[in-house]
Amino acid sequence: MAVATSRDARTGLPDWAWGILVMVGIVLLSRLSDIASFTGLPIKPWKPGAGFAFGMLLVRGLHLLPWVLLGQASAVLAASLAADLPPDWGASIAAGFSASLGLGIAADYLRRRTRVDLALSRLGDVLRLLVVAIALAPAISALEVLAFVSIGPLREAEAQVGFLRLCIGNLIGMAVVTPIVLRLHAPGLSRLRAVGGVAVLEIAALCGALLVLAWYIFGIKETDEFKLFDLLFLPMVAFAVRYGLDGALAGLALTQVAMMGWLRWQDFPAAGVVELQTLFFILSATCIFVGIVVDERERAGAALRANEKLLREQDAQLARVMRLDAIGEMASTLSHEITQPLTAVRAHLRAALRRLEAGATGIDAATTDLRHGVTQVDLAAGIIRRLREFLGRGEPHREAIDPLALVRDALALAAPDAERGGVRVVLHAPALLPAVLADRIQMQQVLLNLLRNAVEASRAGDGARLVSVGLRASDGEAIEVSVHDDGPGIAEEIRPRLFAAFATTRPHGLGLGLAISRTIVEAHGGRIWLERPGPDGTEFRFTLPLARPA
Amino acid sequence: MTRMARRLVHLVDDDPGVRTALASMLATWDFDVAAHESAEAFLDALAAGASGCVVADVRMPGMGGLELQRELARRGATLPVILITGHGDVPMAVAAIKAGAQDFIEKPVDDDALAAAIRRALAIAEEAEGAKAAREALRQRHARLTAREAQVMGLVVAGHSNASIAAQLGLSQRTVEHYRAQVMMKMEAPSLAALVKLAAALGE
Repeated sequence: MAVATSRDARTGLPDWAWGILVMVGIVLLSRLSDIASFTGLPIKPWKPGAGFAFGMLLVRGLHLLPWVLLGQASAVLAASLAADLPPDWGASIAAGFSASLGLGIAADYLRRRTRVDLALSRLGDVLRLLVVAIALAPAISALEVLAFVSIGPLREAEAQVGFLRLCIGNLIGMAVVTPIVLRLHAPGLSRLRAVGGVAVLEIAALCGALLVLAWYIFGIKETDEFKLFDLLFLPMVAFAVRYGLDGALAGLALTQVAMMGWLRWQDFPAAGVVELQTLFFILSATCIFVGIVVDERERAGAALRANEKLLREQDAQLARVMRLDAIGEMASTLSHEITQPLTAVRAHLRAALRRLEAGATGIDAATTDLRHGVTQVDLAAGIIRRLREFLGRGEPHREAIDPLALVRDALALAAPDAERGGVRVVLHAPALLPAVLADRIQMQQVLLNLLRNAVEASRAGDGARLVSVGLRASDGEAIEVSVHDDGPGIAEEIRPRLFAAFATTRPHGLGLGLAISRTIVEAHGGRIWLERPGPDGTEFRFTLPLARPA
Repeated sequence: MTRMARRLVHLVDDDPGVRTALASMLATWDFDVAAHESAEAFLDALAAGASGCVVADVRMPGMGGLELQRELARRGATLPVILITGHGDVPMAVAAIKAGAQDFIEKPVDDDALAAAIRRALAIAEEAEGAKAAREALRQRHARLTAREAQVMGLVVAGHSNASIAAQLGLSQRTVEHYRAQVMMKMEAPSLAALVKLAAALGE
């Protein structure tokens, strides 16, 4: 019922309007498909009306059942009127009742007992529908024939032939028209997918091929319809393979109409029409299955591609996090490594001082202390050199990069942090900027560090929590990047040592971010500085030389 | 107790540069330094009844300063431990003091602070050693009492009169008086109050 109510909201049609639509649809389809029928009776091997009624019962619900009954009864009346016969009220009502009873039971069973997806998105859904159609068609047909025979218009001798025609008619109606109704009703599914310019040509070519073939097979008396029928498989399978279930259904509808049109124009014998419809059922089932398998494969492929994309993004994210972790780990190790020689140097200096203060007797020992001290200073210098090598990782990989893309990437990485802190980040930049020469990963590190500091500062302040990032060309030789926050600003006593290592105001900060940023920016031939220290906010700026200076 | 032993510092640090430097510096403060390259080596060299104090780095491969402190306590060694840490944060200090460390000093080491800490530690060690020696002497005096004298001492300290003790032990009052005089002499107690104090010290 949920489907029905949402549909109502979309179309705004009341139930009685749907009912009239169903009734009129059944009568119209019945008249249009009048071929190889018994005089004045809708007993024929082509019954799209039944498939239409079945589809509508499935998607809109069983409360349409009275309208289906009316429609079926009216179709019988219309058939007798068209043959200039007096209306047989009894036969009409009996036929309408039996047909709608069978369709109603089957629709109810499909909707409630099987977990069929009415959008027919899986092979199983189509299989269930076809199995029910195969079981239902003989039952409805038998009921209808029984009604016609018992009320009178059909002779007993004609019952078997009538049953056969009705049976195949109902079967094809439910195999082709019902899926079309279901697919037209399915929400959010692209019909024939996004059809581009080339696809329109291709579809036109396929339709043309179908019509020409139908004319060749059914329209020319000299050609044998049965021998050539298989030719239809070629364009039909092409439809299914290229456009899935929707393509297959559209192709089948077109073929059916073309085939019936030519057969009627030729006055093809009724028995032949029944046989051709049997072949057509085989064609329908084949194409529908091919179409749905193509759809499923396509969906699986799309899901796989989406999955792969997600995995690649996660990998990249992980690599960045690990790099930041490595810096933290290294800072901890570094602080220990540097403290050791520093401790030794201080102890040696103090010892030397005390020995010299004590008098001339201590000069030798003091000299030894000083010599040891020098060795320890060299040791510390070596540790720092190794650190520079680690940070620099030899020659950075410089390439021409669009500065806007660089900043956008960093903004995307910082976005989760900002969102958590309720901080809005805006970017002011001209649409076109010349490329800069930079190591992408190192510049990401600088930008990310500045952005994280800014987000944290904005959170700490009582401003609007706004971080603005600016990009502009500076004097034709460099790009200038600015990161402004509306945080509480930077205390005066910290400013002179801002870019020194281990200068931090944060309880868990390492005090390495700005120091490393300066190392990186200066290694790129740019410079980084504090533009505005607060209290109306802090702004850091840095420059990057252009790849091709003007 | 020689003056040498009272100024003995066991320096435990794995970094040879730091070890040499601290040893040299402590020498200028007139401490006697015994340097060890690891906690394990120090424990191996540790003799029973060793004196002085320990200065150890918290962060060492193998056994660190905190574990060394715990191991010493487990062995019943009374050496006070001063820890040197490069990460002198609050949790580290709390853990060190809880584990029984005497003090902790941050790197790079301020020698004034370290020397002061060592002096405090040595004073505490000396005090502990003195108290230990006094208790030992007292125990020796008590050991000189005969079984009867010890019995009488126990009753005297518990507040019984001579007559009561005589009745309890089935002795004459004069005999009790004799034992009591022997106890006072052997325990070197000038008064009954002094004897009670000695008995309390023995019971500890």
